[in-house]
Amino acid sequence: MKKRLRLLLLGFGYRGGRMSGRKTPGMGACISGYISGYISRYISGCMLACCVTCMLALPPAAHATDVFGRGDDGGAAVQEAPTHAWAMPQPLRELLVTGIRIQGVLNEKLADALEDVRDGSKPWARWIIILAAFAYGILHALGPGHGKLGVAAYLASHRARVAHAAWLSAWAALAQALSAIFLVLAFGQFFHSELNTVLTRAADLELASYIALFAVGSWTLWSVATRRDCCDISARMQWPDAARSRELDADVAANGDDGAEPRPGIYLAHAMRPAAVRLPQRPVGRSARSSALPQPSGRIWIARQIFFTGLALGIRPCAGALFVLLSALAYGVFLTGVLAALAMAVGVALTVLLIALASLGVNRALTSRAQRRGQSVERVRRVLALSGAVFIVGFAGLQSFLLLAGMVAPSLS
Amino acid sequence: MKRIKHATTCWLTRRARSAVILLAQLGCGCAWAHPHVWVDYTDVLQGSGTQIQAVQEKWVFAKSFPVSIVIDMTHLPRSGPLDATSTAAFKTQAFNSLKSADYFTHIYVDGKPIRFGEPQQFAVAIENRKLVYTFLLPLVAPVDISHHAVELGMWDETFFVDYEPAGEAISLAPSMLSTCGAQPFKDQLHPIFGGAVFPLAARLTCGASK
Repeated sequence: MKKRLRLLLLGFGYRGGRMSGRKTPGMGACISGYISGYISRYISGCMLACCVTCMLALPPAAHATDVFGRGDDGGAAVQEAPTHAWAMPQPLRELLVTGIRIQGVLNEKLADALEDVRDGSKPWARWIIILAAFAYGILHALGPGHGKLGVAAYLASHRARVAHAAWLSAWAALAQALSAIFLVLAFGQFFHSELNTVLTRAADLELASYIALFAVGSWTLWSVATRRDCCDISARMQWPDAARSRELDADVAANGDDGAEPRPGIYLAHAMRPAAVRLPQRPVGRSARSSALPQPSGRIWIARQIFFTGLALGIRPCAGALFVLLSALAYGVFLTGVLAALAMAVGVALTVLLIALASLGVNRALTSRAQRRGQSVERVRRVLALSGAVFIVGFAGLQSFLLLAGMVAPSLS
Repeated sequence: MKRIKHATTCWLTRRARSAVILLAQLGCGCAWAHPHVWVDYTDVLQGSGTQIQAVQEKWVFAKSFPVSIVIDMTHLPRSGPLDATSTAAFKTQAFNSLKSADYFTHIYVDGKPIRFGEPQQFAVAIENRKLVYTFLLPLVAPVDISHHAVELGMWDETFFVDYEPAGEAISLAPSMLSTCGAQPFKDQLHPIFGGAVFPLAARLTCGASK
């Protein structure tokens, strides 16, 4: 009976986790795996439900967001002249201002080319749209929003690879574009009479995005705190010299762990080997201080993390993509608008990737610094992972609270 | 032992303070937007003598402005003013909400902001395939520019809308004294977009001070 129950739990539960490396998991591990699997599925279900509910099922919002990104809650707000105005350094300011001017020009080109596609006057108009939207996306993502903060916080605090950074940036940007396309398509096809509320709905998705980010952050925090997180083990870092490692293996086999002859470089090789080798009595993936999962489970874990983090960041559509899609819809060339939104997403992804790579660099610099100082790399990574998760949960929680309490109005990004 | 505890407490306090400041800055940072709407503007100050009473504004929107959200595009003329129904739709859905932002018009008298009354003569038209708003924004009380330092500028503090001057963007109506004028300058006291942009403003002067 106990065996059957164990098999049932294994069948339905999370197959990764700390029990995966064991041949005969205990009942506790099975239940723990089942619970972790249940929670991760519950979170993903909650996120999807949240998106769909916010997009379609919520009653008309009490506020409305207009084309100027403003709410209709009135109240004159004349600002006192600040006596200490902070300004960016001039070169940076000029660079940003130039970027904004170019965005204006590209935006105008996009609008002209959309008209050309409608009129069928220029055969290459679609190519102009794709190029202009791509360039616009690169520059536009330099401004606030577009998930840069979330991506940066996630990658600065996790052992991720460049490919992970690329996937996360691309997926977050694509999700943003898909969110805009879905929203405009839904209003264009099914709720055309309420098209004037499309920006209000888009602004409402800000709350959905923060709640989803809060859920993902909580999941990450829980995973890190209970050591169910994982990241890929950097092969280069853990196995600096395969020949020396084999030599060490032979020494350990012949003389035991303490009997190895000291040779130049042997300490470094020994120190950088996984805990499982240094402590051979502990099974792989089960060492008391190791949080790393075996590779296949690790890949699944990080793929899930990237998927849900990108989805949470991308729920809120970019107003730039919305405006292009709305114009395309009005001109009867919606598919061209979709192309423009996707090209814009590629441009946004490139800019976000730059931020993501910088964050990866920060993570690696901190880890290397810890190594040089002889600190426990694993502990430093764990602290980083916990800090990143706490930051994401805190930030998303704060924003959700401010939005729910009505202290901040939903806005377009 | 006490010294270690004290050092730890100080370290934690510093970190906590830094975290709070960072979160607050991020919270504020979210209020910034980046331009999605581009407007070329011209402001003509209306009045007589050295007194200004209102600002006549003209906003020319970029072609990318999503007009279809407000009205059905089939109701749009190729050129000329929109009909009363369409104008009313624009006023309700894409103008009245700007009251809270003072219609992005900022006027400072001796460094202090002053309020505007209800906008008048709101009209919408199509010019060169672009949407154009015109309206008159009266001051609550007339201001004598020969006795006060008056500055006028156009900007959206959230930077969702980018206001760019069209030609001589801020000028005085012919009915005002010929010795009065508007001198454009970069308003460094009111930077927007996190200190990245100094909006263009004009200093209004009269007579000897011109």
